[in-house]
Amino acid sequence: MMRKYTFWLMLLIAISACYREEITFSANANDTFFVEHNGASMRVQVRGNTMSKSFLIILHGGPGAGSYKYMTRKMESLVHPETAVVYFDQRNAGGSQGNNNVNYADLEQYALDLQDVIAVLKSRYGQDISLFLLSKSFGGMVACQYMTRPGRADEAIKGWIYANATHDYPLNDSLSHALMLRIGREYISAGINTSKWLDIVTYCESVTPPFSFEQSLKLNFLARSAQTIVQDVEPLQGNPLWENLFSEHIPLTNYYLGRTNSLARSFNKSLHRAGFRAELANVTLPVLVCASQYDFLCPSGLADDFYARVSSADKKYLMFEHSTHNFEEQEAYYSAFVAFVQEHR
Amino acid sequence: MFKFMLLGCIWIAFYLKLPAQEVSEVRNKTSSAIRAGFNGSLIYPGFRGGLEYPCKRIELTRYRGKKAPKTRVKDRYLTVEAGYYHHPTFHDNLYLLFGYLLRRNKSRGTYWEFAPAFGYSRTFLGGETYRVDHQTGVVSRVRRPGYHYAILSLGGGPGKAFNPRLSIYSRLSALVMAPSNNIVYVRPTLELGLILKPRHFLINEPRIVSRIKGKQK
Repeated sequence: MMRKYTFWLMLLIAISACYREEITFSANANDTFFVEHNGASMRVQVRGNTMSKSFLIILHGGPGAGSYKYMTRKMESLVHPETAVVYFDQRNAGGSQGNNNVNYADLEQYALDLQDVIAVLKSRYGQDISLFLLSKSFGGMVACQYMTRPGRADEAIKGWIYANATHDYPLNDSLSHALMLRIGREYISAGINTSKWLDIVTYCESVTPPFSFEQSLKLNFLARSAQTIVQDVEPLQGNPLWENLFSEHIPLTNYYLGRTNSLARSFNKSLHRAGFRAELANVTLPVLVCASQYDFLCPSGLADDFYARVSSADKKYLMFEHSTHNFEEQEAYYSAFVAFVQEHR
Repeated sequence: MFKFMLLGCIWIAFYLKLPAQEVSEVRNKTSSAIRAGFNGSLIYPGFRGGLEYPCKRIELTRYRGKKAPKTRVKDRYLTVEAGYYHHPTFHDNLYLLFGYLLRRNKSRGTYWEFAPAFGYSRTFLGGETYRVDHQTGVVSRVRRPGYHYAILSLGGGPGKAFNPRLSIYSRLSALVMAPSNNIVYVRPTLELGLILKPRHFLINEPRIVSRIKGKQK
């Protein structure tokens, strides 16, 4: 008797654990799947207009943050109707899962993961789809690793949006340091948030490039503080983590796993001297470069350098005057992304 | 949701079929108990159930001067439990736990318990999973995708015994799975359920330890 019930119970559980392949072609698709590679299963959520045959792949920051926080209401209303957006959680980040894959924590592995995601997208939605990369923050390093290596060029990739991103960590540290000093001194002389800016400026005055890894971490920490006290920034509207907490099943888990990435420190240390300035000459596809006036984490100087070094004939540069690192001017950012995708798909 | 209610009903219906006579007390001998409960994590439903095998009883008598002595009873059980939860688009988790349950009995049938347990967990990813063959470039679907983890459950909470055969319990637990993304994955769960003690079910004679505190006057 007991065996009979146990059998049925196990059968029900096994059935519930099986998933049919759901590939949606609609103006409002919502597909979730995973891509398994070298010890990690990376969660990919495709939202928006898959019938457009254009897919904007988000390469989020971190390493270790998730992609879910980009799914704001503005993103849903402005970008999803025009193109499919691929919310790709990199390994050990967001809703991705796995066991111990510490041996695969290097930038090349992240690029290979992206290559697999692209292969799966083409397999699911057709070889004729147009792909666009949207790299933000650390995502810029992943995109550089992917785009600048010989033989990796994929003709399906029609364009690259470099938004508040980085491509060279030593340059990033130097620019953050210089920006905090300049803006901090301005605010101190104007008597605005003086004590907080004094902490930042005092530290910045005590160190000079090249920075050690610990100094780099400290600068990163101070840059985050600076973003919260700088003025003349448009307030960030909406937080998808809370807005979709119950309807989407994943935001809290995504956020929590993003915050507990154990590899962040050791991986960041390995990236401390990493950069792609010389290799950017290999980039020839259309690029859209977006920079923020008050991005202390990835200052606009990085965007200037990126823009100057890529060999693309079709390149565009946009400066957002009232934003920090977080795309506060959502309407302007997302409209620019959509226009770029529409122009090049 | 219906799926989980059905699973729970099957489980409970099976055990309610057990004879419902009063337990005739056998000296120092006691049956094992069956525990079954809804085990949810925020809005994600689940189920957890298993056996409690009595292994030790501590009778603590405390003399308090001229006042009547106060006796407290603590029970210790070895437990084996199976659990499951469903988290859409993330994973389903099936796990087996072996534990040691510490229960402190209070007045009027209430009790508090603490239940550490460890075991094995198998997750099933909450979506179609693909793998790319880098030699051929062929994309294939992975069958039964998911991961194996060591799992630790730490939790406890209050309960109330209505009679020697039936009690309800609640338990707040943390499920800790490792190695998950090189570290641990912690998941809080809230469990509500029933404990049934059928007659003559895995009877054991738990070791009784008597302890006395204070001096009798």
